[in-house]
Amino acid sequence: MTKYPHDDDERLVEFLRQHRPSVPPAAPNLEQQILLGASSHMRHQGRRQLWFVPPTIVAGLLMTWGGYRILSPSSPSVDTASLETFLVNNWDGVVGDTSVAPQSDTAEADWLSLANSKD
Amino acid sequence: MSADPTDAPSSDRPNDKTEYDSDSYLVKHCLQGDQQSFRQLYRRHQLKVRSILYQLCGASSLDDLVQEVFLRAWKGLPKLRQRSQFSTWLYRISWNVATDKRREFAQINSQQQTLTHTVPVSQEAPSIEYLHYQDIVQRGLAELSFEHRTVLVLHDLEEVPQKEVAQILGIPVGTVKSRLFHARAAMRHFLQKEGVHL
Repeated sequence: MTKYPHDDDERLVEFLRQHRPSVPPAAPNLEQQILLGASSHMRHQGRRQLWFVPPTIVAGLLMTWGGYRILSPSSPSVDTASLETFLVNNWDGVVGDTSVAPQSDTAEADWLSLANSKD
Repeated sequence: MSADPTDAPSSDRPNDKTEYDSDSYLVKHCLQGDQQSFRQLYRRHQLKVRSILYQLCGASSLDDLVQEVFLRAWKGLPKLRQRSQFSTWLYRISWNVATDKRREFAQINSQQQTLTHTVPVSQEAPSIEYLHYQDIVQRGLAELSFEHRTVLVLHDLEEVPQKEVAQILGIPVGTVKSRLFHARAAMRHFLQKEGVHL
């Protein structure tokens, strides 16, 4: 009897399908593990998409601070010695009436004025 | 190919039924973060993915490999252009995972040792003759080169059409036919050597 290659193939394939090795069953929690893995990946992706938020906030604050520094009118530079002199003079001017500083040039005049004031 | 036979359209609303049950519809919802759709895709394709991985890699770490395939699929869904070809794409991922695993095997043990030491698990109590033939088929598959075994498993055992096998493996259909011819010849030769005459 003549054997045709096509028939041979059919018989071979049929035999292989009938006697194919049995696949071991999956672990009961495999499906849940896979879904957990997918869920974990999704959360990770979400975090990765928001990675730029903190740097953006910091950059914004820096730009605001820098802009304020640049745009705000700069205070005139004051010489410290001049400022001290100004403060002393100003203080003297304010408290001049009660100052212990001599009001006249001579000590006699001072005594005289004190004596007069007691009267 | 992508839908189950039970997904056949009903007589009343054929388009709606096909649409709601199709892989592409589920993929679309997966891309919106719907994990229930991914669960459906898993349940629909896991048996075939599992079987392919088992025939190519054996029982060792089978659950891990299945998990690897579906997690790669989940991560790669945004890059899937043709949603209707989800199953082809998924089997290609399976093949990639099996190839990676095979490289690991090559570093540790020979492929034959790994496959022949696996213990087949059967739901029912099969006859001695059945177990004997099953063992021969398993050893015959292990004898084949990885390329020949892949084509034989996909086409002859998993009934994936030749055109789709070509897409999965990224080779021309002619190469699939050629590999299938040589794989069957080698398997036939092995069976004859073991005393099985078809």
